[in-house]
Amino acid sequence: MDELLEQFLIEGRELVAQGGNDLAALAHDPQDAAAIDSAFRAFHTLKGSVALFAMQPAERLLHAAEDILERARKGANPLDGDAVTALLACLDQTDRWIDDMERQGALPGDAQGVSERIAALLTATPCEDTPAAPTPDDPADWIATLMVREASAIAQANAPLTAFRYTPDPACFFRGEDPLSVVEAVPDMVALAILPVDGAWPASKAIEAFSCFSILEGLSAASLDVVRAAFRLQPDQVQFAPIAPVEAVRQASESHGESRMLRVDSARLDAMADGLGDLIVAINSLTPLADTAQQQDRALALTIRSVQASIERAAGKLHRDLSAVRMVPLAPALRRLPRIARETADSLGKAVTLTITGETLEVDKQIADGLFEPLLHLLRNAIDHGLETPDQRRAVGKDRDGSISLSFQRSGDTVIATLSDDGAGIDPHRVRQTAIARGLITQEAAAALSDAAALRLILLPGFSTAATLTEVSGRGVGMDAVQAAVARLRGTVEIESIIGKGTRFSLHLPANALTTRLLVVEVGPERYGVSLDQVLETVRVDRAALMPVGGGLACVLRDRTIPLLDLAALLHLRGVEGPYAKLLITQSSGERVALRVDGFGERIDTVVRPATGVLASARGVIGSALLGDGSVLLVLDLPELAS
Amino acid sequence: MSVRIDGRTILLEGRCSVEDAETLLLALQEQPDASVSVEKVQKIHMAVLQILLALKPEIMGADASLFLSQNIFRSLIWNSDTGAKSF
Amino acid sequence: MTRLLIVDDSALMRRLLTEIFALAGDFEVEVARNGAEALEKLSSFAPDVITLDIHMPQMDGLACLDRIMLVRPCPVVMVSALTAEGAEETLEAMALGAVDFIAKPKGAVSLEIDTISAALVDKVRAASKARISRATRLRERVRAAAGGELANPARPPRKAISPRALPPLTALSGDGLVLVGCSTGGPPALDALLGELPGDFPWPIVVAQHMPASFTGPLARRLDRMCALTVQEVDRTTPLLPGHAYIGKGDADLILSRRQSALVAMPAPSSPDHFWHPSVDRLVESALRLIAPNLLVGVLMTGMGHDGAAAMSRIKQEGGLTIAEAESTAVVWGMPGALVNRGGATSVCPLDEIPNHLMALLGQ
Repeated sequence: MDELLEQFLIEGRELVAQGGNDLAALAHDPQDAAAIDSAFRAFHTLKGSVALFAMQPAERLLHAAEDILERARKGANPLDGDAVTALLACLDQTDRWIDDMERQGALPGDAQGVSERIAALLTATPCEDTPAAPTPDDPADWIATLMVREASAIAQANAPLTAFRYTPDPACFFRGEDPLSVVEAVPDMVALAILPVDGAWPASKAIEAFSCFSILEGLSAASLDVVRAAFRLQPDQVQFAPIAPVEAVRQASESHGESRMLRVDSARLDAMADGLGDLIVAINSLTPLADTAQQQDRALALTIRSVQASIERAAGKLHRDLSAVRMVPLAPALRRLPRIARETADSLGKAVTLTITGETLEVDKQIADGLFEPLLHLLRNAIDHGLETPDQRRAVGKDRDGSISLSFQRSGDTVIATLSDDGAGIDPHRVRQTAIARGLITQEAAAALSDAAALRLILLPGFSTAATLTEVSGRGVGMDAVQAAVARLRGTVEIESIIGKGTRFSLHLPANALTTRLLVVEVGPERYGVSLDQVLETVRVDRAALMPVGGGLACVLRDRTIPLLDLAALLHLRGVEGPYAKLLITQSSGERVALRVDGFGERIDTVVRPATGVLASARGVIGSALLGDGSVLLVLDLPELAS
Repeated sequence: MSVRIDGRTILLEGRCSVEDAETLLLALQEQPDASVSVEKVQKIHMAVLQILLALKPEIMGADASLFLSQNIFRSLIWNSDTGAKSF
Repeated sequence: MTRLLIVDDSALMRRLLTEIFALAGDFEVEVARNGAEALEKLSSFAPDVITLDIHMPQMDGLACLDRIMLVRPCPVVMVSALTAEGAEETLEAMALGAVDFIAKPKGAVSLEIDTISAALVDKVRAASKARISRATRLRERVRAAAGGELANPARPPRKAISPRALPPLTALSGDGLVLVGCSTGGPPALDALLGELPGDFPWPIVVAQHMPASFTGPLARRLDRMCALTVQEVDRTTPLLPGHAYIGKGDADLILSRRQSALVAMPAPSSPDHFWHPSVDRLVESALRLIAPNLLVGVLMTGMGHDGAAAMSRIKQEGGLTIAEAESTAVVWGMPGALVNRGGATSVCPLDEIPNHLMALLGQ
């Protein structure tokens, strides 16, 4: 996708969310000056952003909205509740248009009419259309000014640009320089502007014919290095600025950057993370080296280990720092949810209050990005299937408006997202029947399931079918999509439900996703990695403590009997019999399961590359990791193996 | 000399080098409402161009240089009545 | 063979200069490490020309130069840094009798050695044939030395000039211009010319003296201190006034133009069509475009080459006046000689007579 548009989708939604928050505050207190200011800025910036795309109806609508806020800001025309409602409608519509831009790159055909209808809600008369052109009073603003001036060129560019501002020495002509020739040699020019050095061209009488009084500003599609090379003879007369199309919108819309934040393409962070992963792999290769050295020279081995330890500390620090850089608040990923909740409920004739808490929690960007889809499904599902209609609710003595809460909390290295509704709850008995009817499970197996386990049947592919999916909740996908999305993030889904009271879905996700701490386990002749995220504990028990139960085995751990599976058998390998059983305890489908292995190896921090090719279809394999000695370790998905 | 005066028209021709700036300035000071023909310009020095930008005479003709016509003159003709020149 | 004495405290610089001149083939080179050694070799080696570093321990270049000019006058070429400070010292040295200066080689010497050495050798070779300037108030300084003090040249006493009875060739009237061109040996010659003219000299005087950019400002300030005229460097468009002398900025050309009806001088980027800058020819040509030739007086003084000869010949052809400095006083009789040889000089004068001649021409 066009990177400029991509950035607009992100920022546009951020602005919609910011405006939404401000309007929420204004709904309580329409005179809240700080909220008016903030809302004004959001609408203003949003208007500037949409102006870069073929979104004229949105631009006109936002312009009208901005005008109302501008009047309120100046105290000329205080806001009232209706105005806030109209502004909210304006914002919601803009959000929908942003979705349209994402889906089809254009506004729908009815946009003009919609724009006029909502604009009519805004009672204030639109003010005269005078686009605010920032003045270059501050030299540091040249980039912002350039971006406004060259907005269309930037919008048309689909790759990063390099901006330059070349202020030739007034005496440069005397050295035989021709700034125009210099600029002519800049490759891939996209735009050029020649500006007077003092902000205005000199009058005829004041012109010094052989003094350069021009500034040349331009945009090139060439890289910074290439553009810089064109100015190698004038290094002190030129300023450069790389313009990611990303930044373009931002700068154009905010002529004065309010934040000191550096925006970095997350792909660059990913590249750094990959590099760090390779570094960690390289460090790990010191372990076998030390082992080899040990046989020849103990002192050398000792030195290698101590060097390894210090490199590991440094790499560990780097990893923590990089992880911290990648940590982003969850909030931006959740911004569309309130609007979607309102829309979904409206379309179903239901009413809902969505409260979100803990959204300031910071998680790895990958998690934040990946969380939206499953939460969206869960939310739609909760409104569609979870909440009763207002009539039904009144009948059982509940509030007319359904209540859904989405909360986030951190527990160690895990983030738990919990979506609860106060709806009808899920009946495990009906779930069993549906699963049997769909042929997903036999009657006997269904009967053997606990209620908690039965609820999990809704996560199976094929459980939800077109018949049960309304257009609203599923858009053609079922709860298995939630399960799959969470699994991709190496997370797990838990479901609790009480009939008549409501349902709670908990998503357990790793907060850090860069490298994974792996435990190497031995199974027969093979070595596998298992994510320590999935290992509750490792225990060693006397073989005598293993009990045959039914067709399988179980063991007693802290007075609780838990099922025991033989990893060798699951992997079709021959295990090694020993006096002790070494067990990995993991959690699968909410239940603890012990997996028997032949030995525990080292713990390593490494990058797990997602399974591709043949591996991708192998059951129970998350991916692979490269070891220090160059060998490849398959990383197992314990819950999947155990289920 | 690549600056030639023909009645009320100042013709820039060929490669307009730095010293033409003073000649052009003098010509435009003497006839502030003269128009400037760039039809035969092949190359123009910054010193000459900035005189045109500052004094904003009426520009006539498309020039012979691709770079100039694309980046300079086209918009100079279009924007010859605005203050800052954006190309 | 030209006997060259290189005086420099830097062994590296001595070696570099020695190599350059040895390669030229027509120099016999001797070196001195300081002023005292230089004075010793003055009699033993009897150089035809000396290159002299300004900054040396014990006896600095200026003191050494002063002694050379007293003990055994000999053409001296200063080795100078092209800085404003270097300019002041170099101009001082030229007032003391140094013939010319060369830029101290610096930077990527090994890469530019061919360019540098060609210019260096040319200048020193020309200097070796130079006449020692008579305009250095040598007699006063000899007297001062005899009186026990080595004085810097003081501002000459202003005296009312009594124009010598030199018949005016043409009666000049109206507002005209004096155009002066000079090169090697020019600064002391300008001192001698401008210093003798009164502060109310009726025509503006415009000077093209070949020089680096950093030297013309200090030259103008120095002349301004020493002359009754107001002397300034032309570093921007400057309207021309009587009683003023205008020194063209170095490393650029100097041209005349108009702003409204006023005559102005302005620096212009060096024209590739001219070899020396500020170009005397270009200055004169620009004047001929604006002013009737009979309102121009061209003065061409000491200097290598022939800059100004062509354009000043035109002044004469078209009815104006030109004065060439006589061979007897010119440090290097290149430019004035070229003018005389072309038949472009309406008169030929020794340097000390040029001021009076000018005054007479203007009926002063």
